[in-house]
Amino acid sequence: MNDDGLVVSGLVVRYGGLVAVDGVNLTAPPGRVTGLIGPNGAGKTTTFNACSGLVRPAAGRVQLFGSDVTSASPPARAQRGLGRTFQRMELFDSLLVRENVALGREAGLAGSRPWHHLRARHADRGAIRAATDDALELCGISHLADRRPADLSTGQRRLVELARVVAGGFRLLLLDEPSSGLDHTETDRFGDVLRTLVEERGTGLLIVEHDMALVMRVCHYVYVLDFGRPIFEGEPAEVVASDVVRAAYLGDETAELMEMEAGLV
Amino acid sequence: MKEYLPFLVFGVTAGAVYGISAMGLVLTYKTSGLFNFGHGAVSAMAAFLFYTLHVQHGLAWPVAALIAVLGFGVVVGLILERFAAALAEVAVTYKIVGTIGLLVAIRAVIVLLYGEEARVFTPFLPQAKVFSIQGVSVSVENLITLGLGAGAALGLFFLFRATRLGLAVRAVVDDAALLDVTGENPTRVRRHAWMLGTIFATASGVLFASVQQQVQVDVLALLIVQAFGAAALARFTSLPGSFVGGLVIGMAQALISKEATRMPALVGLDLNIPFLVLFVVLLVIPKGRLVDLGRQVKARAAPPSRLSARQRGTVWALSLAGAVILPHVVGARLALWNTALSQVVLFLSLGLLVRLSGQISLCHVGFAAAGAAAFGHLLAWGLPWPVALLLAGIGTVPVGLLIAVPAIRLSGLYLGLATLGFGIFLAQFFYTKSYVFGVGQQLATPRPAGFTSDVRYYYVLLALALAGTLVVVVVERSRLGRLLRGLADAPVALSTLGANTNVSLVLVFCLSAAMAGVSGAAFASLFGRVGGFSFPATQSLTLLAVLVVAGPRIVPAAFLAPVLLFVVPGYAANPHIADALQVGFGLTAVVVSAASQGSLDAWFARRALQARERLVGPAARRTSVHQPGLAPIGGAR
Amino acid sequence: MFELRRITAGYGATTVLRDVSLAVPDGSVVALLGANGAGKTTLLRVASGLLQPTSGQLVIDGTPVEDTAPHALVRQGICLVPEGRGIFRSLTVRENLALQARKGTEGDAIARAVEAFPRLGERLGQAAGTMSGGEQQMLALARAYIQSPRVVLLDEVSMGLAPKVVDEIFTFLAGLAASGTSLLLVEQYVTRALEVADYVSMLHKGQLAFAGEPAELAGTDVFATYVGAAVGSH
Repeated sequence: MNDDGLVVSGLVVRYGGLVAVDGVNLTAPPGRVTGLIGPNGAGKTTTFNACSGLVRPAAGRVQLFGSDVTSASPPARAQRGLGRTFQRMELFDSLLVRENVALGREAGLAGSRPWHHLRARHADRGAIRAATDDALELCGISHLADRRPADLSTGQRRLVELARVVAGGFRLLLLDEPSSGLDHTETDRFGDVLRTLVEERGTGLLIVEHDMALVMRVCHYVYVLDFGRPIFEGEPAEVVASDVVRAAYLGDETAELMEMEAGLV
Repeated sequence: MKEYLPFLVFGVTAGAVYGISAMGLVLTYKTSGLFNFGHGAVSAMAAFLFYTLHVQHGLAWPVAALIAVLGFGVVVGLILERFAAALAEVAVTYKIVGTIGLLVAIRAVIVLLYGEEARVFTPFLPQAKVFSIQGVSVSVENLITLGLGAGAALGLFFLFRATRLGLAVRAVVDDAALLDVTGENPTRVRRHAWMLGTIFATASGVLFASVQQQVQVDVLALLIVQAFGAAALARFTSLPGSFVGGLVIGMAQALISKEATRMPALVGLDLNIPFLVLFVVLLVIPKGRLVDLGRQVKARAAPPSRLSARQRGTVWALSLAGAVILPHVVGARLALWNTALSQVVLFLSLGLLVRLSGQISLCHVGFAAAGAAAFGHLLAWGLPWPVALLLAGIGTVPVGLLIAVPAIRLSGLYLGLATLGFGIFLAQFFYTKSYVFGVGQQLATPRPAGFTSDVRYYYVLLALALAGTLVVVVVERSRLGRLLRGLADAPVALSTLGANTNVSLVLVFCLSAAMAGVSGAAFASLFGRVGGFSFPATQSLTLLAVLVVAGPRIVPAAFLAPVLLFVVPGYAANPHIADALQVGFGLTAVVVSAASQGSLDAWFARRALQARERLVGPAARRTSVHQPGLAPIGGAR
Repeated sequence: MFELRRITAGYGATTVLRDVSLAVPDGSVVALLGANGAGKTTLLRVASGLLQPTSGQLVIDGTPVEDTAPHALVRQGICLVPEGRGIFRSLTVRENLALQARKGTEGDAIARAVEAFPRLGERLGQAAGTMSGGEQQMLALARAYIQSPRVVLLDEVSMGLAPKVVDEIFTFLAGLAASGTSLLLVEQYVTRALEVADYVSMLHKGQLAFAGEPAELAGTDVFATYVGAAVGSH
């Protein structure tokens, strides 16, 4: 076990003849917010899927806290501390919000052992309840605990999905477009939750995000993809200043505005 | 070689029929995303219509064929297109249930009209010898059947390559919405595909009856499985491949029936080749190649109960009191209630799979049969009744494990197909063996000592039903229940949270199989002796349709469904009422499926809106047209 | 003139567009801008008939359209090039074009398409899905072009394409507009969209935030508000 967190090296993913991801390297250590940006179709979500084991890479390695998980199953990676959310939220609609969040913890406890799938160990019950309450409160959705996800707004559903992985106690989280569909207050709340996770709990975050202001505000380090290839990496200010990124992705005017934005924040 | 030839000639002819049926199935599946389990039932209906016209009323066969194959095919095709449109936006489980409802309804209509016995169907195509290969004669019928099949395959190939309609059909398969914005109405294209596909179904039905020289409802309705097998060989996508698949299956069947004359162990295997092919192909094809066509919709979760905890308690207490006094109220009809009560655990176990876990099983009766057979043997070894019952349940677990394997690999439609193939294979190959239900299908399964009267056995069954209910309630509230709901709602998310979802799946299939096994044992005990005939494979389809009709909640549905299935028809004086009810169940299953995504609510809402518009008048609309909130840009240009 | 009047639309219980009106005058290019999730694609789906609005109307030359099925709108000259690649991947290039042409005019249509995009001429027999992204997008545009539509609705046609290909596509679009076809353009490359646009509409959270000419945008408050939304300020 070492503290590099997630290390992806030389990742290549092909769909049929199409090369969706071509030679991506990135590191997402604990205690840092790492951004992954790029135009639509640049291969960000595919990179995420390869990290969490949902697609099989054609080449390259994925390491988690020092161990090679390139061919490990999604639950095995989760057991090693990797959690994720989805761009199109994947909530358990027939369970209450509280049960959704609790299952974030219970799924990991169940793992691959049949007996643990049947019932919760007595010793675990208190821990599950505590983790659930804590996650609900951190995400500010305690008042929604007894509602069903289907009845909630998009923003609230995003927070439920976040609370679910928070309850899971993962050391590293992949967040896929966490702020899309959120309004301003919800985005702010989201930013606060992320900050608490990183600064107080030492969780590492890797986020794919279109909301550039949020990226500039919360990320410590940013990777930029285009056509599945890495084209730039650096601190947010460097990304904004980069000609490569400007040309490939942002367009001049937007980049200038972003610089202003970043300066203001 | 020479002794194989007669078998091969027969095999190729039968195979051509399977191929025709399979092409129709694949054509409609590809264009609409709806895999029609009722395809074979349509074939059966056409065959019976032809039988009535030609055999019973002496109409010349070309005229009868024109009506039963073309006319009937076109009309039913048009109806089925509407049916497919109604099921387009529902979850895949409901698509399956909807078409199974169709199968159940059509089958019951045929039974109502013609009964279940086979009827002699004199071949209508000339049987004259055309030529012979090494002394084996090939008849006109053989050649016409093969020619029709090959001609249809070539015709389809040409249609798809060289005509605008064919182009449009391929385009609708590729991307229906895009075809719509191309200026071609996808519904019109689908209508053609359904007409064509249904004509293939009707043609295969009539030809199959002719080849078999008989018409019998289940043989024909299950022609679909031969077609499934053929389609599976073509991975459910290629049309010429489906035809070749049909030929392969037909020939394999013929060769095995030849071999079976020397090797008794193979007897009955020839009939089961299609089911076996279906099951094995689904286990072997790389998962990525089996993609559910059509829109993928998540099933809507059942809304929470409107009753308060206290009201629910009252309902429970009243129901229980009713159940306790029931034997003293119903008199001679108690036998019906006993039958129904013995099936509650079976429906509970099916509900666990379908409602809680989002899985599907079309071989549930097979689990019950396995339990019943195990139970009979255990009793014969001298084990006490309760122990034998429990062990019968445990003995069924390996069968559940066997089905959990495809469940891990497959989902939705393909799991349904695999379990259907498996269920029919069990019924046709294993039930008939003397080591399963004994010689002469008479395995003794007496009731427990001291509970042999109907009234006393009723309480045994009631206790079992309540125990089953307790199991379900406990599972629903346990971690397994939450994991299974999670699995049904968002399996990928669940696995990325660290749960090995395969473990939950295997557990629920084992539990469900065990419960079904216990139910089968209790059912067998009710009658004192049991045979394979008590567990027809098609019953699994009816069970699923009735379960869906009985409502979304597992426990109430498990009690309501067997009452609908066994008690209600028993109270009717008319013996045909059971079949009429099956028609009702089938059609209700179709409606419930079509409405499962709330489309009926939307339909009512739209109607209400239109009604209001009519009442308030178009004035309201006009204002909205003439008062744009924002001046459209460039409007002044 | 093609107009959307007071459109409210969404999916199921979610309302995406609220009371949005927009007009595309004949022969003009309208750029539709807005952040991710603002409702641009939904508006194009309504405009092309793929999504029936809960209220509001499509209006052509002042007459409300009765039959708003997509194929009926195509006959009225409204043509969509959808997000992703608007082609039938399993059909060949020739079949893709033939399907779009009116019956009996397939040969002419293919000739016109090849004239506009010579590169497609070399690939007529190839399955469309096996071409490069740029070629696929050219085919999608060619399919729209050979119908001689009045209005072309374009949803993110530059997405995922190399800058050089995007240049070619925008050159083609400028030519198309010059020949009198109206365009309604949803585009992530704001700069490029503004270069070709006669008018601009902006959506913000499902509502119309601005409608005017590109020149009005420079340095105005509206621009700041919009871009703030686009890059997600607070």
